[in-house]
Amino acid sequence: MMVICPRCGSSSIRKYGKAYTRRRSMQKFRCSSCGHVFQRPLIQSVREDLVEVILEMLRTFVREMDDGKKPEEAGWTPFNDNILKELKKIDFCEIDYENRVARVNPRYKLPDDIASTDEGILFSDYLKALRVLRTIEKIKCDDKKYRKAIMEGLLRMLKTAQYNFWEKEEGTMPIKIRQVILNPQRMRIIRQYAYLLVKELLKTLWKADTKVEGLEEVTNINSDHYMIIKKALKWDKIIEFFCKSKERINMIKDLGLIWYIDQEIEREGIEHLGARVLVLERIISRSELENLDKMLEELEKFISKNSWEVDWSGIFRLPY
Amino acid sequence: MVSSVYPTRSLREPVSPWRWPRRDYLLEREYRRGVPPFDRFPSVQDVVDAVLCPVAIVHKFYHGFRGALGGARGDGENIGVLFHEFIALLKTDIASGRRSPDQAWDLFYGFCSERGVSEESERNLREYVSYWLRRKRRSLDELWNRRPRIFFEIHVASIRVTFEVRGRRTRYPIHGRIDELDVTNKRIVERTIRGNESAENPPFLKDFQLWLLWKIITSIDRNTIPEIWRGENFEEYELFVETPYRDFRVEKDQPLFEEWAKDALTWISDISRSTRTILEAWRNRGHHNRPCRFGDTIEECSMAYIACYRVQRRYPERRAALSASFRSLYRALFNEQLWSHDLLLYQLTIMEQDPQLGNELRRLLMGRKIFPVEIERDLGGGRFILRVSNNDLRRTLHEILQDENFEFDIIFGSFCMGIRRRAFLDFRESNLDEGRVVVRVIPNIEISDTENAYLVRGGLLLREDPWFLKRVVQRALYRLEKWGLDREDRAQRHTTIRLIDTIFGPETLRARRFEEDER
Repeated sequence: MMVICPRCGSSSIRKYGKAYTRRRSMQKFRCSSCGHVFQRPLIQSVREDLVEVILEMLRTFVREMDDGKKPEEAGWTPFNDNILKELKKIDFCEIDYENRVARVNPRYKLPDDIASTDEGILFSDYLKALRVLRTIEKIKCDDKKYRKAIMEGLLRMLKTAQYNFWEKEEGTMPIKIRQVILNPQRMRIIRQYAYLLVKELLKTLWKADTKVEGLEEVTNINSDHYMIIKKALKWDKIIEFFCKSKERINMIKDLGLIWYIDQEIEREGIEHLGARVLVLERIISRSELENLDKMLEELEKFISKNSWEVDWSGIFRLPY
Repeated sequence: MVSSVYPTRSLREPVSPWRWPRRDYLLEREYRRGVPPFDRFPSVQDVVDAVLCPVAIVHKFYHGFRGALGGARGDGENIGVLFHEFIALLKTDIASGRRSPDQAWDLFYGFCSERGVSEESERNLREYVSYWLRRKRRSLDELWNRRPRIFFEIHVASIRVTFEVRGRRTRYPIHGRIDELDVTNKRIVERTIRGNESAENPPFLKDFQLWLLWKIITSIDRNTIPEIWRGENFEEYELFVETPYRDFRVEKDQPLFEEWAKDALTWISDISRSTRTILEAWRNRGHHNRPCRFGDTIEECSMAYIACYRVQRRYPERRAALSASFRSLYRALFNEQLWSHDLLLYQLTIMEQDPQLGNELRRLLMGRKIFPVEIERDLGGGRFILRVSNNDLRRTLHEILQDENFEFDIIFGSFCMGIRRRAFLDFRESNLDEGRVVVRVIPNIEISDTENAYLVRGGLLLREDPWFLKRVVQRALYRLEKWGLDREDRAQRHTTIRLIDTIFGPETLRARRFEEDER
């Protein structure tokens, strides 16, 4: 089993005893280069001579998914007949006798001890990514759910924005606006009204009532505050900007969807960059992303060129 | 000899040309905010890292990592830096006649004790030095007899570094540091401890790094080169990568390197422009044809196990939410670095290399970020008396020194080509009313021909806005994001993990207020 020091990346590692916890047993290791002691789960669910075989299959799956291979084609590893015969007895392995290759079946649940190895964690991340992909594909087929997803995505974007405001020239900002948007509590205040801002934007874009079930409605609205925020953001002008062309309307939908995907990625707890990239790439094409980026640049220019009393940035953006 | 003899991956097509800062931004007439409308002023190290892997640049820009190539491994002393510093000290001492080649080991032990080098590091360093000394004995004797002019740690910066690919020439800004410039023997040397005795080629990408430095130095306008080097024709200089075991001569005509450099700079521009490029960087990870794959990563890249394929911990469970909330901070901190550090690099380089904007920029920066001084006297032991002739500048410098630490960056020569050192002001011996400043320079330097120096305040360049701290914050955030525990029993008791899971978890997890409990 290839073990690498998580601190320095050295492969010069020695076994350093065992540790037992309530749920599982751990093998301790010590790095000969930097002296770091770390532990890995002790795999007991498969025979010791098959551990490396299983891990190699997981590694192949991760490598090939990283390289952008389709999930059904990824992870197939060639083995000799003896190993294939042994792998047949393991329920989470899939075997192609014709090509004499085997892989870990992505539809089966991995035993806990294998799932908690480095290979198992990355493999699980890809399985989660595939789950998110399936969810998004389903949502795209259902108009109601699709709209809800876009709304949730845009809401997430507005709720996580930093809201930087500044005056073009000193003293030009009306006092009423200043009191709200330069208030130390401005983030909380604006985020409170994010739902209304998104609703208003989508209502105009879709030319229909966008009331979507399941989204939290805002209660205790201070309409003065809301009007001031709208005025500071020049929300009407922003809506006008998006309404100017059909492409922009589609792009704002894409933006909402990207943020929704980001939310789903977070909900599933996907950490591996490759798995996150896989979801985004399959849903939004490279050219769509490029266009979206260009539109966001145009929006920045639009905001800075118009001589409003208040300038702002950092609200419409891509989740990195 | 070329270290990397593989064919290249397809070149990245730039989304748009290099974004240079507009005049209004250079002259600081526009409010600094949001995503900067210009690209980073890349260092040679950035370009080399981008050639190694575009994902390394993502980690470098957004997560505050230093170099990817053979970069940080643990927090121990950097033997490579110590090795180079010692060789520089030894050669300087021999060339100036202070020490003979026979006294090399005395100097070594003195150097280690002065630097407080640990026993283990000293042992490692001694090994490299003994290899080097065995091989270089004759050249040290020659140094002792001929007393050539050698300069170490030369800072070079240019906005006119041009690369030609398929007949199309493109101009870029790059800055870097030359390890050794031997004016007598017409050589530029890049020193490293990487490589081994049997290596036939220079260490991976070191030849490219040296070639880039040569490209910078040859692109600098002759008028901006300090008098001491103005007569030199750097086009004719020979390039050498020096390891403890062997010297490798590097060819200057390198069409492959031109392609690599252009590809790397396109990645740098695209990644600093938009986070969208991170997706594409991942798909193009690895060197041009040394792909980086899980379990089979590029050996020389330190990012593989500390960033790309870092071990994931089971706890905290809400790490993904923590990571999502940090992402906007990474980008914001990167933007701040561009506004404070990279814009200043553009200003200083353009000030010297652009005759149209030069005077306006000089007026803007003088007395704020740079202070032109004349070297009045070399007191020896790295101490100099500097003179500030302009009365206004004297006053400003006096005011600044009232409430700040007396530490600067000093550049002997010009910003585009000069010897950069850290300078500490001796306040007791200085008389700022008369414009007389006494500084101690670290590491020591022998200057006889250069008369003018710029005192450039702060960190690398700017004291009042220490941009490098943003990188430290980025790194700390990234460490926290990736930190965790595997053992459930420990995680249950760990305050930080419980705090993260509570803050970033669903709202039902959050603690109730005291009044709510009372009710």
